[in-house]
Amino acid sequence: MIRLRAPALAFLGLAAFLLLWEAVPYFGLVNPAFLPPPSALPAAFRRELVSGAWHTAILGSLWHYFVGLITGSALGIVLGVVVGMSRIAEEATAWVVRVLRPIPGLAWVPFAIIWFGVNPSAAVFIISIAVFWIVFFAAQGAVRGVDRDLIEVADAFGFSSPWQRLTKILLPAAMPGILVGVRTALGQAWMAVVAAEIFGVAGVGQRMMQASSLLATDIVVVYMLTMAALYGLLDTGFVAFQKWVLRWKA
Amino acid sequence: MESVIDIRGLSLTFTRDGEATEVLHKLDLSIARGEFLAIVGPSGVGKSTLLRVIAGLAHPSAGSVTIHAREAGRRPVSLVFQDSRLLPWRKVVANAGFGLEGRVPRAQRLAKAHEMLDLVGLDHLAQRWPHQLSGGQRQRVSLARALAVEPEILLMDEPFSALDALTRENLQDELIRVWQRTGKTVLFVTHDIDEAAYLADRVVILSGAPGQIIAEHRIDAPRPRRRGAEAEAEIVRAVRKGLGADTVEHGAAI
Repeated sequence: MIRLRAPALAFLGLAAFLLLWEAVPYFGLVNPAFLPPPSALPAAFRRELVSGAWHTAILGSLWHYFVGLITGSALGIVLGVVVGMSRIAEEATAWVVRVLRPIPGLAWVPFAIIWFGVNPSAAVFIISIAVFWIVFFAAQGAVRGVDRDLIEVADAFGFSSPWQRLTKILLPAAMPGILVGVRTALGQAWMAVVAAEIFGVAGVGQRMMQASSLLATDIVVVYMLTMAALYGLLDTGFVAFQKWVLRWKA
Repeated sequence: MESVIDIRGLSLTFTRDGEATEVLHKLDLSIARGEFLAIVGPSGVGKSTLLRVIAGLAHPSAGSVTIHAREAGRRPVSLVFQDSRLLPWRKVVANAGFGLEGRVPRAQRLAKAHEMLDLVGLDHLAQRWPHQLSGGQRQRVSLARALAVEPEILLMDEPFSALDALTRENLQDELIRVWQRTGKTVLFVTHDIDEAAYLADRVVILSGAPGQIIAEHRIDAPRPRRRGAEAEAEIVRAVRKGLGADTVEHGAAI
């Protein structure tokens, strides 16, 4: 009984939300063109599927997403680990980080267009920047927080070069913290995808802008829900991966 | 007897926030090859620091530590920590073979790791993660890891102090068995006088601030020893007295 309560309530809550959503345009409280009812969405989704626009947009966005995520994460991990390991690197980069860190990803759009043009590389660049800082700080903090006692174990067995320290102790010990950062980045990267595509790179963001300029709000909502579903899928997959990598944890 | 470690005039001073604290003061100590030496003293007296200096993890401010290694180019000492310090992301067997990585071929390393786990009676747990082991089992793996690199000297830093009494007694007997089988030199730090008297050939007492050697006692009782036997009880009494009054002259042996 208790076991079923949580899913039952969750289902009821969702049903109530959809009903309310359906009722608002139905009773004319809001113009249906401004708020499409959920019942209109399956038809809109079918139209997008049949025309092939959905596939094109999703594939474009997924490509930007993964390339940006991987580039940003890789750079974030490498630089974060270096700065976490070395006082000198930390001191040398302290002010550069202070200057660059507060600049929002979107503020890079003008340069993205000037450097890369309106094409996928520009979107990848914007997404990478959004991901980079999250992972950079996660990696730096995780490496700096590694238990000194474990590093001493490496020393006690004569593994005292920076490389041995890194591969035998620091990276595996910092892995839980790094993965938490990457998981946060997984969500942030989706937000950056839409932002990066709004200025015209082919993908979900661009498709949403086109639809909204035609007041096809049902299509906008279809893509909003598509992104929610994709994020849910990716996050679930990542959590499974994380659990496998950290299977040594109690 | 041939000595394997010679410590001469060893002093160590820590500096923290511009304030210097002398931890060890002019220690002289020789350890014979194959000897089981216990160092006893109250907490904070610098026992662990002494081990860390011998292991090369800390450097003396004055004096010297000479290790007469038989084989050049290999670390002659290996350390067992109080809190096992297994690497939690490695399975038991990978922890046991840790010190051999990059030094011997993989197959040989695995064979050695299994051999050492077998020696401490844990080879059946080779594929477990450290968090699945009890405290006593973890400490055995830690001992296997230290032995796998075939050190000449085993440095043990209160290795059994975090264990319950029964497990501790088991591991003490196990250690004696391993020591007798391998013929290593053992330097065993503890604050437990009974433990020192039960295990060691010789007990050195470190006391005061900065830490100094205030007495040492030789224990000739044959092994296997009985716990609480009269010869040991005598040592324990003498050590207690020495630590309490701090008046026993260095070298006063029973």
